[in-house]
Amino acid sequence: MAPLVEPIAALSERERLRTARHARLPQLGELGQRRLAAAHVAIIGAGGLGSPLVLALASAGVGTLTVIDDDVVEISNLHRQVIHRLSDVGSPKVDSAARVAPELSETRVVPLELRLTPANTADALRGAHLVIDGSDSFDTRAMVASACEQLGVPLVWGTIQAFDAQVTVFWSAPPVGVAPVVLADLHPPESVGELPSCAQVGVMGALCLQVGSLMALEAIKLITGVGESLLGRVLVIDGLRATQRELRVRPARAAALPGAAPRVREVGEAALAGARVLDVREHDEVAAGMIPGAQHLPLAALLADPRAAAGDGEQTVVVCRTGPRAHAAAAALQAVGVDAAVLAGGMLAWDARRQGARA
Amino acid sequence: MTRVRYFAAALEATGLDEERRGEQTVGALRAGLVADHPGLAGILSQCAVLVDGSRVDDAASLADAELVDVLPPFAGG
Repeated sequence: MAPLVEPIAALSERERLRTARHARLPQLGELGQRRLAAAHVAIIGAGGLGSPLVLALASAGVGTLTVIDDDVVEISNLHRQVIHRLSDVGSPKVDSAARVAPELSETRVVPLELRLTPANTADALRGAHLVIDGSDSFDTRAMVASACEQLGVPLVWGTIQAFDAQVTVFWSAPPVGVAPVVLADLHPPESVGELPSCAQVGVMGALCLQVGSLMALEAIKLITGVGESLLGRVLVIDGLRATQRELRVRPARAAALPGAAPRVREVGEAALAGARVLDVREHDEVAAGMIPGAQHLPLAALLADPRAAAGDGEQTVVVCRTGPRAHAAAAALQAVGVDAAVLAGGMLAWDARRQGARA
Repeated sequence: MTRVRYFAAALEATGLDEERRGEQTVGALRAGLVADHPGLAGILSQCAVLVDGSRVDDAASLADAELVDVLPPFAGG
């Protein structure tokens, strides 16, 4: 594939010496190193995957890294999140990224201590040549994928659970002749439902370094135009057995087939009037407030018995924090004959509009 | 016969890397998999079931399919 980034005119003398073993690689060369120096990469999450990504890309001499994370370091992060130190516990994770990069190279780190929402994600990522998602929730991943599709930038995507990992590249607007592949071609957010967190099922720290390193390599290859990218392929790593298998992934065909399930509609606030509103978030999430008049039924309970949640067949608008769970719930309700739609942007957008109205 | 591969939690649930299956549609395959591997029941609806690389509707034929991959989603980072 053609290189993603135009090179800078010249490396500094120190960067030239520091990256001499990269320049020695015939595929990359000094030109590739100048492309890396011109590149702007956004990294979502400064955790298990973000940590090795920051180390690998700063030492590779990438020009600018925007590192986005709204979390603070906890002591239980330190077995895998290798840019944080014991003394960082309680400090913002992005601060560790900002500290470590200048110790390695001339990479500029832009730390963004920010919780991504449907309203701010595209703005946070705008200007990056490439985005890397190492976040820890599917809600965030759905928002990041959607923003990358909107911006047309490649998305290096890796995820890890226990001893297993997946790594791939999504790109809605690849060069001519290359098939676009997006997150929904692999894991459509509305089909994913609730996934266990690292806190629930555990995660092998050493595997995070391997997966972050693979993701960094994919980013370097796309920036410099060398090798074959993982666009259209998913690497699945089984750390326990030390195997790595490859899957092919192509654009989904479901929509083109007769008899395909109807897609769940997204609706705005105007559709709430006269509709039954169903909030499928967890108990601790609704404690901070729901849409007035909304009924509460956590997603797992709804999926266990959609008919019991069917109501009297009236139009139903489902809401969760950002959308994926509401999509899963609405699809299950449609399957039992309910006219169900999803509130676009979820409670995050609802709350943001309320706050905007007060400001 | 179609070659079906299992990954991560789907591998754990079936105890198999892969097997050969004779079902003629994706819907029949899903039903057959859950019947033969009850451990898949709770996760199959979440999994990517890729027929030669593509997500397809349950009505899609497997007559010309070579490879089906069953991959659960996960989101940890």
